[in-house]
Amino acid sequence: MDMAWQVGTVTVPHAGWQVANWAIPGPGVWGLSGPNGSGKSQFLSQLVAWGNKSHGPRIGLVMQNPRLQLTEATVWDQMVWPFRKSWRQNLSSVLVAKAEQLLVDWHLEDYRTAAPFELSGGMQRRLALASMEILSPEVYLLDEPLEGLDHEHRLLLGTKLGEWANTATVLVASHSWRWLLVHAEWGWWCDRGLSWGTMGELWYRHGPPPESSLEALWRRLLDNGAPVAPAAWVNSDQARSEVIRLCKNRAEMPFIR
Amino acid sequence: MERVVVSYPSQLQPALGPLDLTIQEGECVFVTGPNGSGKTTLARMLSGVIHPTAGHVTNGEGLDITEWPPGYIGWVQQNPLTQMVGTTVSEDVSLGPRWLSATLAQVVHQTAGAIDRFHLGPLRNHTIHTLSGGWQHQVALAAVWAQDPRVIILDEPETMLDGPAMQRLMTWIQNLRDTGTTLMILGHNPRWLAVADRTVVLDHGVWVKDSLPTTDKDREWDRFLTGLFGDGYRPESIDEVSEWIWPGKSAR
Repeated sequence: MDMAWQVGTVTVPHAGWQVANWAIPGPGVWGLSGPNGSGKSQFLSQLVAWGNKSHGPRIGLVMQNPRLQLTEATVWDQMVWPFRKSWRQNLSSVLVAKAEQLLVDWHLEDYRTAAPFELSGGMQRRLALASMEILSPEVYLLDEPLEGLDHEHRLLLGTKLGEWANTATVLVASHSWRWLLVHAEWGWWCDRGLSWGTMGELWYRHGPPPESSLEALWRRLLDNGAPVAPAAWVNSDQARSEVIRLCKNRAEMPFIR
Repeated sequence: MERVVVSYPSQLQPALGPLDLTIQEGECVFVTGPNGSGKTTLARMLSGVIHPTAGHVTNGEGLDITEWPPGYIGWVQQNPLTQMVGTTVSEDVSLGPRWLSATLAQVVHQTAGAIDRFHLGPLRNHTIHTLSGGWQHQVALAAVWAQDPRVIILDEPETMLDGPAMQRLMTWIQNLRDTGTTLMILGHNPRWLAVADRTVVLDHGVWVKDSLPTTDKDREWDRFLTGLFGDGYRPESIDEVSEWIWPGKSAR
């Protein structure tokens, strides 16, 4: 893993742990999961504080509760306020075009004049994401970004993550193992500290009881030492490929296609 | 709900309706639909935070929504902080019983029961604003449970919950179902399809589909089996598939 920024010791006071010599990894999507109250959100807040103090990378945080960061009177103002030095200042045409495009991307173009607090929970989440994206952060910190998003916009967020990760570090805190396993290869388990691993390994060690038959099968195979990729259960085609690879030297496969 | 419409002053189109919907006592209904389809507006209206602009909402006893007794509806909101008024966990959980119960003994009993059910004992004296989002959500669930409402509305109840908290929520929902509490679950998570008796789909504030109970959580499982075996063979259990893939090693 390439380390992009050396943070040093990070202390998470309420959860009562600290991690030494921590560094923000380079571009990519990185997962973060852990029990309620383990300090995930505090950890992200500490990274923001470090960024402000150290004049390090531009950090963009979308909080668990997006309402807390929607401060402006309209959706449009929420998008452009960081670029205004005064209310009379004209915004550059490039910036206006970018803001317009992001509203279209996040399906908010029809709500330009609406008040952010009147939007639904999912729309508020999208507005918080869009108003962070316009700042082009070098480090994205997303705290439970799926909450409130419908299926269509979860897919959109996945696409956006892929785009952002080409040039930026994207750290995503979530309880949704399925979603983390699809989007992040590596990450941390947060519980009285941070432990590093592939998301597949972390899911196998720390994930909750299976919610689907395929997940249950995969856990059973791993429990019994089958050399399958831990994260393959999130996609039936990948899971099938893993099984075929495992069985390819066996003669007795009467049913396999 | 008969021809119910809810409009916000600043919006040209109604946020909800016209909506005709009947929910039976003891029924569990999953209300889903895209962002902005009116799910939370429906919860706000049923819980009395906003009034219908038009139409009528009555319960099974014929009482208009404006006549429903205090504590009739319990609503766990998407964002738990918006419904918390107590300073500490025990204070917030006890507010409902203090408002609704006749005796101090009832208040103590209801509050202690809710705190135990959601494993909040160690956090009892913590200030709510120092808790993580997931624990705040569990405090909100406990506070509503403590009121013992006839109807419970859960708006995206899985929000920010880890695995053990999710299991506690599922157990609680099953208990509520066993005791005949009417439940309305709002959200996007397909897990609720399997829990609910009925699924109602809203779009642009209008009821577009009332689907039968169904589950799609094992759609991937079916695709996996079909990919491997075609349509000719269906193993009966996960044990059987495990044994077939990794023979002789599938014992737990």
